[in-house]
Amino acid sequence: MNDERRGGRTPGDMLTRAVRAASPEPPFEAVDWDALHGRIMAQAPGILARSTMRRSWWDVAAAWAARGIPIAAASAAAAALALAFGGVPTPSRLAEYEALATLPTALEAELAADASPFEDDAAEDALTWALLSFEGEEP
Amino acid sequence: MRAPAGSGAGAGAPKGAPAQVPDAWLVERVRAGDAEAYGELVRRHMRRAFSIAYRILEHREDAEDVVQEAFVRALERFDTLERGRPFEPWIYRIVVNGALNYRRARSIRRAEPIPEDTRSGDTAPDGAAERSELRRRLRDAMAGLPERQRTIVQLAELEGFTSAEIAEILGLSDGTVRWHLLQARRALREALAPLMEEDR
Repeated sequence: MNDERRGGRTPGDMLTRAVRAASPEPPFEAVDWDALHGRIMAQAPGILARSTMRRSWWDVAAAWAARGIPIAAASAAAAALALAFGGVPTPSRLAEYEALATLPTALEAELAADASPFEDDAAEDALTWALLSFEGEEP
Repeated sequence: MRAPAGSGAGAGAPKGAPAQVPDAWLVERVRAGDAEAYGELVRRHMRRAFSIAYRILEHREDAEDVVQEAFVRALERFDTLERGRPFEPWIYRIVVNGALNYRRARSIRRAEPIPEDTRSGDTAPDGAAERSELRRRLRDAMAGLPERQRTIVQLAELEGFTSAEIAEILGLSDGTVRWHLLQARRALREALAPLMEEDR
């Protein structure tokens, strides 16, 4: 690392020298580099194997996704079309709706016509006559 | 720099000494599952990684642990290294973060250790008292800096990284690094000012 790269500071920068002097130098010679390298690399094959497996799984998933996404998109589009156009009223459907809508009114009229509990006028007359001609004892 | 024994850093390596193989090529080999290529990357960068960790931790064994853990962790998360991004600042970032975390955990477990190289410094003869006082003041001033500024000073002044390189390692902007460096240097100068006046 040259001084030009160090932001234009001069080699004689007192502060830099002071900081260096006050900081302990890393004890490179005390490190067993081969052992450290060995400890790191002892774990490498397992990690790489796991990551390769993870990649393979991902590749399979990605391949399925490549086919699945167009199918899902087509299904969604079909469903959207069905929802959008399935509710449009056709003439026959309109007739059905109208029949249903008029049904309560027709029923009401029929019930109003049949308000009497008697099946015909003769029965009603007979009851009226019986009541008028009652001569029984008073309670 | 040595190449891994008998490797040539993997099949299809560019012609020439293994040491000349660029990091980017080794990175691609590691992505393909080549452990030897990773071994070469470790060999290339572990000394600097150790140096960085040691600056932060000031303890050899702790620094070794951090370096080991950083390289293992980097391999586990290798797929997070974006294509086209350099390996070097990426691994140093993992080392710096690991060392800072380690130091925080250590400061909870026990008091900050006396740095190995300065334990006997105070007893050195021949005008060492002045140097010792300078060291003490500087060390106190460094210890008083916010963690980020202290790390930036260590990377700049001790490791010789440029502000742009530090920015890449710490995930900051170049301007932010320069600002922190300016503040830190100002604080350190103030700490040394009484000694400089005495010298005049």
